[in-house]
Amino acid sequence: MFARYIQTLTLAACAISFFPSCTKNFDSLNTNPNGVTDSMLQLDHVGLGAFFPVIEKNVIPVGASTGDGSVYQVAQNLNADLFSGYMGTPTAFGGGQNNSNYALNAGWDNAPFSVGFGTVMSNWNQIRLRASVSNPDFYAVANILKVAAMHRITDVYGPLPYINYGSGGFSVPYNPQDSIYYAFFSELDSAITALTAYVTANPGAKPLADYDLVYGGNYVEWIKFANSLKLRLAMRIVYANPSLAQQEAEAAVSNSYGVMTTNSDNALVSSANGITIYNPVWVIDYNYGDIRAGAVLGSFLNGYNDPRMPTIMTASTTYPGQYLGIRSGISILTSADRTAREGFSGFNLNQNSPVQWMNAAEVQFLLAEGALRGWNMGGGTAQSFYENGIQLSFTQAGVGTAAAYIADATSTAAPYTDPVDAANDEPAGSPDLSTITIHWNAGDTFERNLERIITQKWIAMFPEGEEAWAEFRRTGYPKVWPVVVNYSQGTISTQVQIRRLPFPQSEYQNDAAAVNAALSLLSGPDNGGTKLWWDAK
Amino acid sequence: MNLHAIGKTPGAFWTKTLLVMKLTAILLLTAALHVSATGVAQTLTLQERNISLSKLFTLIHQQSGYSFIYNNQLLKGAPKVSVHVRNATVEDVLNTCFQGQSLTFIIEDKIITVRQGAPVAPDAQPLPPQTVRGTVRDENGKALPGATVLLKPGQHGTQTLSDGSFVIDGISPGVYTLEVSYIGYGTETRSVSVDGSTVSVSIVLHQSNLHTDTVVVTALGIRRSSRSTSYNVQTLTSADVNDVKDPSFVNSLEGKVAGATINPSASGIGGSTRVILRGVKSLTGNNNALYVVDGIPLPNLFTGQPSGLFGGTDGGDGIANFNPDDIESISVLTGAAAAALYGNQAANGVILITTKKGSAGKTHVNLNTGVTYYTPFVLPKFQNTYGATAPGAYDSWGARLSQASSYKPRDFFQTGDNFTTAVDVSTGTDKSQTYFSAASASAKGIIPNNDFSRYNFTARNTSSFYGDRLNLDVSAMYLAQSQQNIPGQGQYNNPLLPVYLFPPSENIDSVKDYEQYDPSRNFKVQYWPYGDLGFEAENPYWIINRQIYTTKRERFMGTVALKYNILPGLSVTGRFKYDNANDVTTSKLYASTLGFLAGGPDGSYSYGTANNKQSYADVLANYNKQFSDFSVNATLGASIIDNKTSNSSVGGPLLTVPNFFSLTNISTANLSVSQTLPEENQTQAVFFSGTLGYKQRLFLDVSARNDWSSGLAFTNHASIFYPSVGLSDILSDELRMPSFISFLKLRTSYSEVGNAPSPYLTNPVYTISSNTLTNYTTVPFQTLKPELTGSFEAGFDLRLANNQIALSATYYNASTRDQLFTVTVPASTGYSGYYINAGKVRNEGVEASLGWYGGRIGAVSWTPGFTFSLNRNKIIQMLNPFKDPFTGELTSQDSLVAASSGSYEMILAKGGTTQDIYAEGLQKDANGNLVTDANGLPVVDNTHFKKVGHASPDFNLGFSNGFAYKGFSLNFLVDARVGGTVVSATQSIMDYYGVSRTSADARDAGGVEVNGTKVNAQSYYKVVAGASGGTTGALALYTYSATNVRLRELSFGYTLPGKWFADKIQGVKVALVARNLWMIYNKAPYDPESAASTSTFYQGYDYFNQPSLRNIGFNVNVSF
Repeated sequence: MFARYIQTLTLAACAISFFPSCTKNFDSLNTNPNGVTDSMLQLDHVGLGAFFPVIEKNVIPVGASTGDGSVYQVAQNLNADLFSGYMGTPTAFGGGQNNSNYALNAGWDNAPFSVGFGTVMSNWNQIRLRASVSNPDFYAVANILKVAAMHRITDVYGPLPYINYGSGGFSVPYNPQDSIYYAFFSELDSAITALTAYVTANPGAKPLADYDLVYGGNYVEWIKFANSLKLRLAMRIVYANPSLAQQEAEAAVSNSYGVMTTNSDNALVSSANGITIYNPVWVIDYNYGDIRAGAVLGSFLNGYNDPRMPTIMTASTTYPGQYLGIRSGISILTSADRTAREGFSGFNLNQNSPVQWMNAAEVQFLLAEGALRGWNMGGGTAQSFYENGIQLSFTQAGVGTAAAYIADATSTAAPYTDPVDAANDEPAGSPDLSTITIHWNAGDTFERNLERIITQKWIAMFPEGEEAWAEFRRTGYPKVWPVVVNYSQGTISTQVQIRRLPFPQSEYQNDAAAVNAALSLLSGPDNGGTKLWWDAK
Repeated sequence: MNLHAIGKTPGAFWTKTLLVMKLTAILLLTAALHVSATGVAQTLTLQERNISLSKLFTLIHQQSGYSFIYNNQLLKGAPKVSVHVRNATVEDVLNTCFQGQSLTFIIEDKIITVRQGAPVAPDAQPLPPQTVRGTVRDENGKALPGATVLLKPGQHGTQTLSDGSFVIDGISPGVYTLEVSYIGYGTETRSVSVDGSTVSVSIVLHQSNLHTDTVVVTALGIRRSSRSTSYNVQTLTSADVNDVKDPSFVNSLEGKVAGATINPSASGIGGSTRVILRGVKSLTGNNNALYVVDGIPLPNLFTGQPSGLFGGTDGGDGIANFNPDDIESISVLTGAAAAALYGNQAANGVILITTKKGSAGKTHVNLNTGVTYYTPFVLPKFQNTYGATAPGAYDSWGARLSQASSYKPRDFFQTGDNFTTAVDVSTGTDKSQTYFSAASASAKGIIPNNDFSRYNFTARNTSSFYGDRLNLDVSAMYLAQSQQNIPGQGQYNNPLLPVYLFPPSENIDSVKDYEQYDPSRNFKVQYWPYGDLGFEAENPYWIINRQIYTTKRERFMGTVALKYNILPGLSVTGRFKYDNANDVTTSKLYASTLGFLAGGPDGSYSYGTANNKQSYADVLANYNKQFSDFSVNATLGASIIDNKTSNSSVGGPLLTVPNFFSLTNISTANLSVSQTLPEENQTQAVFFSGTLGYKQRLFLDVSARNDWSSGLAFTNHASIFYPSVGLSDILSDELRMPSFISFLKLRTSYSEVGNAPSPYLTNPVYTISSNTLTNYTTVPFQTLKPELTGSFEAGFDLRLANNQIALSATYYNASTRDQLFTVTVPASTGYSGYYINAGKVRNEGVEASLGWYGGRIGAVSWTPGFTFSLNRNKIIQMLNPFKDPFTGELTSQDSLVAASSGSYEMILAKGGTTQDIYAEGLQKDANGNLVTDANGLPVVDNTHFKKVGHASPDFNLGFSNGFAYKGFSLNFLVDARVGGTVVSATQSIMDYYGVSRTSADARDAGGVEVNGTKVNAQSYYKVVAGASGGTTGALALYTYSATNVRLRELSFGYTLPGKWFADKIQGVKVALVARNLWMIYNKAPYDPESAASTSTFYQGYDYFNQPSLRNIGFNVNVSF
């Protein structure tokens, strides 16, 4: 009897041995064939550079297809692009109550944080782990990218878990915004130092060329961008820490490679190296029909008879020949409203238009403001920088000389008539309408000239709404009209306008201890009405 | 029948014990007849005076080793005998002693069967073995498939096939007793005399008496006596799923299985079904039951499920592909112990399907054809007295209409239908039987342009060789299925949203012409003057006619099983099954579909393929043996299961020519390509299952399985061991019971089973999409363990009043631990999440069924039955404490958001259940009054989600009734689900838009009361209700009890007498059938059982789901 059991057991054992495989191939079975392993990343040293494109595609989130704009839409378009006055939406999101009229959508509030930490920082960390020792030049560029991306995030929320990112620990403490800014300066400084050393030792070398969608691996351009970024950030803190602002700005300008000076220095993400990028504003405008030119943008461009207008906006289809924006923060009740507004002006973009992070014109306006403040901006006056900025922008737009435009001392922002709903009009003489003219007037007050500089900067750096909204909050310029209806339940002042977005709900869920501790780092409650550290004018 | 036997223990012949046992079907099936006779004399020497026959038998047994089988009643009153012989044969002794007795005996294989009657004269020449065949029907002539047929004495047993026929081969000539039993019917015995030719018998079973014993199909397809199982097995017949048909037969199990909660998907015909046995166990893994066909697990072929506001459809599941007419019987193993042999797939219980086989003899043809019509079952209530705010506005807060509008959203639906035809043919010889079936289903849904068709072909051959030593079973199934525009939920591609929100004062007919000529484009483009309304709304008629999604599936399954009977009682079976499903999906969005959906103005096209392959092989050695009092039934086996899935899709916006749907018409720059290379996972296992029986009354069940799973590669757990143990005792055979107790069995078991570990968690890789490499965001999980469910159950099976009343009840307590969690960590850690094994969920409950098999109302027989299920689910522990992978610090987390949509969330929290629903409510002050703003309006509390209930029912009750009178039958099933909560965002959004009846009633009443003061209805609903586009309002106000009672099934049939057709046709049955005929009680604005998703979460939530279906149809069944 026992022998039969043995027989049976043997049989079963035989059966197993006949099976085509044994558990020894489990390692290969359990390796996802649809991904790239660490060992594959050793080939051609791909691992050193391959994480750059994903970061560059997410400093400002671009699309990967003609329908891919939703990340940008909630991370920037439905907040900063509206709050900056650049854009308006014809869509009654949330039944007409949404970010545009200060009914902040908690789901959308997560988006900028998620782009910054979930994508940019995570992939930056890969470069840090792989290249910080072996390829300090790669690591330097990664750090510049990190600052370029993350200052846009801190400018949305304020305090962030930035400095201790990925340093271990289930909960990462938030840093006050001043510390974050100081960290940005030091990170940029180290990056500039490292790249300068590399460029000196290897003139003309472009080891990052296969991966870089911005400068094709040209490190000199990266140094100029880093200096320009430093200048931008320095100016941002001018009301919070004026001495450091001046010190950092002057250091940026006096660097041996200096700041961006020509349009060829502009930081633009374009399709390259086999990667196609889709302009997210085009996707949302053209394919989603969810965004149009802002009424404030139309008011300035119309009022100034700006030759750049047709290069920025398209003419309205429902009001042919007109350049007509949608006011943000209005009440959209009926679908007829929406249908009519869908035919207002959109944007003169195409699907592969490069996405601009920063341009030389903006740098000239920063220099102009520095000069206006009496800083050493490396020679040049506020006026010369101001006029250079306008001309650089004209050149970039391909509309020739700006001489006549610069000479215009009378034009001001145009009144606005909403053909759909008169409640949204800004008639002539409205205090919301800016009275600033184009022509430089050294005799004007500091504030008038600051408004002049910022207003022109605002036009020149369109459509980077994140920067425009930050500068509006810092300086109060250009004059962005207040919302017509305010659904913030009293948390955001209509006149003072929105100052930030609340911390993401996901942080309250995932890291409640840290985000609750961060509340004390804010100057007020965690809502859209509380000012950031640098918002101290 | 009360049989006694005298035998002896092999190798222990010195024990002189009178062995009395009750023989059962399983004993006869399994008792090995080669009783060892070594050392036992072949002749007898007896010197006895006036002994009883039983004493004589004992003595003969002691000397010769021959065993006796006889009925005690027979020996009562038999005269005593005296015997004086020396070296006589057994036969001679018995012949002598039986003189003058009305007894006879048969000797076969050292077993002596003693029975009434004259002795059979031994044949001069032995006749060749013969065949006994026959049919088993009920009083109404309905075939009884799955009835147990035994020919005694001897090792002859079988089950009837779908047409009620049976064949038993290889019967030596002699006199036998044929015993036929079937659950719910009295056992019939008949004496069968086998001589020189095939014997045919026709057996009619009478409903009214319950047999205590049937053969049930258990894990791996092992057939066992229901007496011997230590766990609850529920058996359903083909009729249970075929009388009132559903394209996916699983939906027909609703209300019929104790311990099961079944939710059909809101996606209608061909959609998938959520089947939860004994509660939701896994917090993050699969919770659906495992389907097993003829012993072999099926790949589930689950498709993506809707999980959010925006949309998503259910693509159906693998089990919906089956032709219900191929099913012979279904066993539901609700508990883990029963399923333990499936190891890491077993945690959620098993639904075992036994398919039909061919039968020998006359060719049988079964033809079944029917049509079912569908209408919406439960719709929300609309108003038609208030119009749009302004002409053209999509917001019904305007003035009261002078005349009520005639607009009815119900008119958007059409009457769906489903035409089904199935034919099966069964034929064969004694050595080879063939079954063939073909079936078609052609359906259209209630939403126009939602179409479904399915064709199934099955062929199966069973044959035996070498004198039945070798059995071969080969089967093949082919399926072609096609679906178009499966209804989804949510905002995108969902025509119901614009239909439900359409203002009553506007003219829906004006948009029925959904396209109008556009001179600038020179073709017709979408006409929808209302805009996308912030939720990508489109013309509903455009959506159904110009946004065409199709899914086509071809699936092939082939099985080969070879069984070799090495020795009586010992067999080896090898099985192999290959299952290959290929899907092709296309989408065609016509030019002028919203750019958001189409990616451009010229339309878009996409083409995708998916392939799922599963290979399964096993080897089983089966050993059955009877050792006097003890019986052994053991299976030792090994199996390998290998799954491969791959898919790819390519598509994009059209470029050159609008509406030319071809990949060549897409710019290469805009072509989006995705490909999943074959993803494979494999489990290898060795398992053992054994039942030790004592006196056919006490049974010990043991099973053990060891799994090697590829998902555990890169961890330090190479394999996982899953044991189970069970004990059952038939108390009524042991103790003297009051006469009204016919049968009482107690059973208990404990098992540990798993939930398969997901592949690839232990070794993450970087992904590439759009030529861009991206870091993985989840920490590699190299300590992964599979989830384990430890499950205890105890129950009893009781039959009363001469077996007419059957009550079966089981208590269970299952605890699932080492759950796989993805802990979401703050992005600032560098990761989005990491996995841990933690948490513990307890499911505790009772499942019970009660049936009465002897009911009569006059001449009408009445068979009522109840099923009852109660499950209490509790999260005992969440993540507590676990090690922070970054710092090693211990930390804990007591709650986790499992699903979220607007202000609806499912949150897993310690102390709660796995199906808890949370929603936002209104702010209240310390006194419980609503906090109001300056306008007296309430304020939504959007900082706290509060618990509003749980999606799972507290208990389920099914009440079935069968009435039969002559050829007429009436069956209906009423079932109730009591408890549970659902949330309707549909209602909330309808309130916001002012199209709900509630909103009209509020206006008629002059407003809504807030803290005792009436506020304007529109202002109120604009605050508390939800707009589409991501906000859903204070859904705590839109929470409804899920309790519902319905007339689930009704069938009224008549079997035309065979004589009408000169007995050429055996049965023609016509039936009127209906499902979801009457919602008797329901307070929710939709059918609370209809689920948007068949996955674990996103339950109890309605976001413009397709309404569930009411079916009424007609069936004709012909067999000849």
